[in-house]
Amino acid sequence: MKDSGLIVLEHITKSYVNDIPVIEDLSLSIREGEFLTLLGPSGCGKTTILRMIGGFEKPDHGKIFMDGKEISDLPPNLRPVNTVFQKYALFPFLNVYDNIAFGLKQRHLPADEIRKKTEKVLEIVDLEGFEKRQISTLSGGQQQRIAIARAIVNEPRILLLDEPLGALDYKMRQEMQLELRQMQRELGITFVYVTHDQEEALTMSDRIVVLADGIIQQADTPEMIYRKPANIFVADFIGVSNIFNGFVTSSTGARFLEHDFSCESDLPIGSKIMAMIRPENVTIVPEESGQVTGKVDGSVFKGDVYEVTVISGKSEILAYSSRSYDEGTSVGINMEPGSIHLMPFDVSTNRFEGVFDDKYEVVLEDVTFAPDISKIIPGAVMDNGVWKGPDKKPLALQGRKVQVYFDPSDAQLSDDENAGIVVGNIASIIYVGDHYVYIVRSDNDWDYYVDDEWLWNAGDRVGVVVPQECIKYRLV
Amino acid sequence: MKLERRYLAIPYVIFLVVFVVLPLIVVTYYAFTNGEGQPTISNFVTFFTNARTIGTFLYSLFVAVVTTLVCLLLAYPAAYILAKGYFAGKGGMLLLVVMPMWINFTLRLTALKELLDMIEGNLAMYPFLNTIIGQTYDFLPFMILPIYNSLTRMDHSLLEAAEDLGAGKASVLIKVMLPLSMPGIISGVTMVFLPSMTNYVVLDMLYNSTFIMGSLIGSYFSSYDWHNGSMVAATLLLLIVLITYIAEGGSSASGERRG
Repeated sequence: MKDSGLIVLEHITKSYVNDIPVIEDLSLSIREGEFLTLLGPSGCGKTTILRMIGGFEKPDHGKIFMDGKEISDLPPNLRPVNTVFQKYALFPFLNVYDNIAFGLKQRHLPADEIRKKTEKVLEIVDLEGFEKRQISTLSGGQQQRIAIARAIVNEPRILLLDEPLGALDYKMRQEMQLELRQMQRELGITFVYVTHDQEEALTMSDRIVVLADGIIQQADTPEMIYRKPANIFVADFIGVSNIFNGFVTSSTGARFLEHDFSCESDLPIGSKIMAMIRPENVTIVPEESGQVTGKVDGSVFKGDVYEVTVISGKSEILAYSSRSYDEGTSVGINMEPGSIHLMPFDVSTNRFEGVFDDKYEVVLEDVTFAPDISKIIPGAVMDNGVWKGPDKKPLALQGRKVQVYFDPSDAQLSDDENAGIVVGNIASIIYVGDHYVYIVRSDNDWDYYVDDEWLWNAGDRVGVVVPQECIKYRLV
Repeated sequence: MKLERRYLAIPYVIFLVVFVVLPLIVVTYYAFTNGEGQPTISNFVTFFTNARTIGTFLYSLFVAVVTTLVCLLLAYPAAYILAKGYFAGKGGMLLLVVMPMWINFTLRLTALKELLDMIEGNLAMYPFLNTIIGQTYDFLPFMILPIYNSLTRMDHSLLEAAEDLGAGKASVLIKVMLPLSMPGIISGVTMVFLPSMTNYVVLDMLYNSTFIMGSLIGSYFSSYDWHNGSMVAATLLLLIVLITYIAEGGSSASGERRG
């Protein structure tokens, strides 16, 4: 056995429509007794993973193991797993007692054992004496507790919870977070918890798995996820962060915001990085004693702190402060050395594979490019409408695969859908100091990276404009 | 002056008074009077002591019960398959269920009669079977549609929850799906049971018999016996009210409350 996890997912792929994968080659091991949270924005595939563990969906590829035995094709009723559904899914035609006893009755336990277990579990969720109540007479919070009771009464090895607190109000949610955490410790049941609420995830979990587009971005303890995010997506999704472009200057230093900061990393010297620092680790000091100087752009009262925005050069820096600063005040900024976290610059260049058609044009998705053939094949010349190679023979380019690539910083967004080489919707926005990094997703589900200094909204339909001379081609 | 919205109800209120309320009063009056206009309950006494009338009553009841059961047994799986969308053209399948209702009722029965005649050789050999076939043919859509509606509106996560709690396919069906579709079943039953108790066209055409409540009322009225005719009508009305009342009680207890 390769992995000793209670539940092991191995190379899972799952797609619903048009073969666009919801989950892409995902592997994950869930340890016995842990409180694991699947965290990500909506549509990231977290509920699909939960449903596959529960048995409601089958993976297209890959295997699911429990205790080393494959359970990929086992129906839900034969898995020692219980689920707390998003909208509780309590049976409206049964009272509280019969709802909780449903699973026990399926196992044909003796009546007095069912009664004892049901009473005990009602005690655990603090709803003693509710046996005869109808579901429709219960409040949302009470229904929530009954849903949990109905699941844990079966003493499952694993409890799956699908955004169980989503429908509760803020105060109730915080109470239930603590209760669930305590319950999990006392019962010793493995919890797999799905949420899009990062605060919930940080509060409750032993381990958080951050997902985006069906791919695990990072799986680690809440503290590590917060302090040492693996990439800018995680840094941006969890908490508030400042992200700056820069490069590594030594094994103990990096340069960004036109200043040399001391920070440790094992990234190669000279490599491009993104530096992340949380606003609570940024301190505002008198102008003359700051590592970086700038002007205050505004202060927002957040209840416990002021969120102060400082403009330094072209970059925007967020800092938490106990007092507010007037707009236009010149200030200095200091960054706590231990709290600067460097991430590899992972916003890759846009690289796609196209094919030559019969008119010396490259077809990519629905777009055609007319490259200068002489730049792709040195020495090629145009002769009577036919491109000829250095050996004067006509080039047989049709059907040849060609790589098309361009740098995100050469691209721009336009609200004229037809202005650019391709049109799509903005799928992600990340602010990095002096500009935004956008992911534009075309209708064919291709992602294009674009750097743009103007703010657009997620979901905006935009054209991606790239000047002809910035598009590069290479024969495959 | 602005036209108040409640004035829009006036045409219907007039219709209601003329065609529902007044006839009810007339029927009740006739049911409790004799030929001389004296109040009496003797109409009811004769009905429930006469072997012929009570026999017709019981037979009609029996026909209605069997028709309803057959309809239910055929309709539930059909509605389930339709609701699950096993067939690509779900709308088309539903249309096939509804379409017979667009064809004239007697025309359909005439066709059915010819068909049965061809298969059985002589209609008189299986009178009861033919009655049930005719009634089922007639009322099946009224059973399928409400059940189909309740199945499509069903919260799928409840079925998953049952599976999650260890219920196999059969258990999910009996313990969760059936109770959840109860409102549909009940409205289907009320829509099939009551008409099939009084529908005499089917019996008349397939059985050549007038041995059903509808024709009993008809025969009284055609012989100008308003009092006994009204009495039978009033009795049936009472039965309908009673059954509806019981059914609604059951439906609100088992159905989910919508806020």
